[in-house]
Amino acid sequence: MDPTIAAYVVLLALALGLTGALRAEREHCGRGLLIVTTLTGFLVVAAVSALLTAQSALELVLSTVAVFFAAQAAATAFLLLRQEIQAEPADELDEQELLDDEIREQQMTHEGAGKEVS
Amino acid sequence: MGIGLMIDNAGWFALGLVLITLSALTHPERRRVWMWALPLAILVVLAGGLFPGAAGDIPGMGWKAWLAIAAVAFGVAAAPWYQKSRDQETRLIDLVRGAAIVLIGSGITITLLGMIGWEQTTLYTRAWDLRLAALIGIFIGVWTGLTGLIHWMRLKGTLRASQPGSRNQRLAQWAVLAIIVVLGIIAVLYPDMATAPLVLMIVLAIEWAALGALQQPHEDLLHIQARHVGLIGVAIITLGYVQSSLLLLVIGGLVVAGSIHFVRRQGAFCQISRRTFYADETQEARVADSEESPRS
Repeated sequence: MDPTIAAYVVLLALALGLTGALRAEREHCGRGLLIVTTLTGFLVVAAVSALLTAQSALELVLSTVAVFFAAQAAATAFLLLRQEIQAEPADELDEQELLDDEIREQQMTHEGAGKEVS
Repeated sequence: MGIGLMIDNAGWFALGLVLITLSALTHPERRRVWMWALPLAILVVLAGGLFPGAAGDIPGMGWKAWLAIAAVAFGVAAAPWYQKSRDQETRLIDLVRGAAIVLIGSGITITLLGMIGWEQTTLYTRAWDLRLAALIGIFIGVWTGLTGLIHWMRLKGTLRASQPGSRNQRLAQWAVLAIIVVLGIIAVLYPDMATAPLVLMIVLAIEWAALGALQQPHEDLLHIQARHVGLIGVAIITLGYVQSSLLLLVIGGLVVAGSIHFVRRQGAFCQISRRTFYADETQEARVADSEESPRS
């Protein structure tokens, strides 16, 4: 693969990840980590492709063990994410909204104090 | 057809599904359904790679495809099945222990794939960039796998954390890392005499990872595991480069981005009470167990 194309693709994905959907509010950062840990499950795909293209007995054994551990890690990561999402109470107040309200109240108090001084 | 193209054929659909899922997961009502789209995306790519072989469309690949399906099934069956729970008192230790298991499995996988890549690039192709990618994979795999294993043993109470290293110990650790880098450069540039430097590099990487993981403070374990998730992302990028798969390059970039995001902001988890990780949760768990056992 052309290293320049690979570098551009990685940089675009990095930029997308840093600015896009993964940049959730503070409350959901922990979940973001579990989401990307689940995405590391794509290692199974790399391990399976190594198994399919194995050219010797040693490569075959190593890649089969790699597929087993990759599948175990992927399943564990998804189950952690599932546990995290199921643990969220349906009626929970959004932490970021509470923070926004607090900041808004502080701003209003400051504005009120400023008017009294003037 | 190259294996990278086989991955990417189904990979474009999987990537679209992943991006839609990442967006849908920010919506509180859709999360519980859309989380299933992530393993579905992985299954879509696996099916795209495996079914041409299993159906006999690609000669000589049939039994390998079935072997892969069996290995995936055994791997999923061997995973610890966590109960879904709305209990707010779920302990952080369970989360950190689960993440340690993920690091162990991913670390072993990356190390083995790096060794396969090293063997292939030494025997069949003599490209320095592919050797470098294999070497980075081996180092990241050893580091991540061993860190996960030591975290897991510490949380089980089998191993005790050592005291934080003195200034001289830290300097010695940096010197070991410098030697690892030099040995890696020698192995990449001179493949004919690479065996001894490669073996020595792996031994030093084991020592470096083990000492580092033993000294890490208990309350920082999740933070360190998040950094290792980022390193797994780097390894996925190198695998994508070696296997010429744009899907793996994009997924690796997203994983690195997610890891950076968590390390910088350290968000809370819903499944635990919002509190910091206190000094020795393992000890407390064992005390609680010993209090319960006389009653039973």
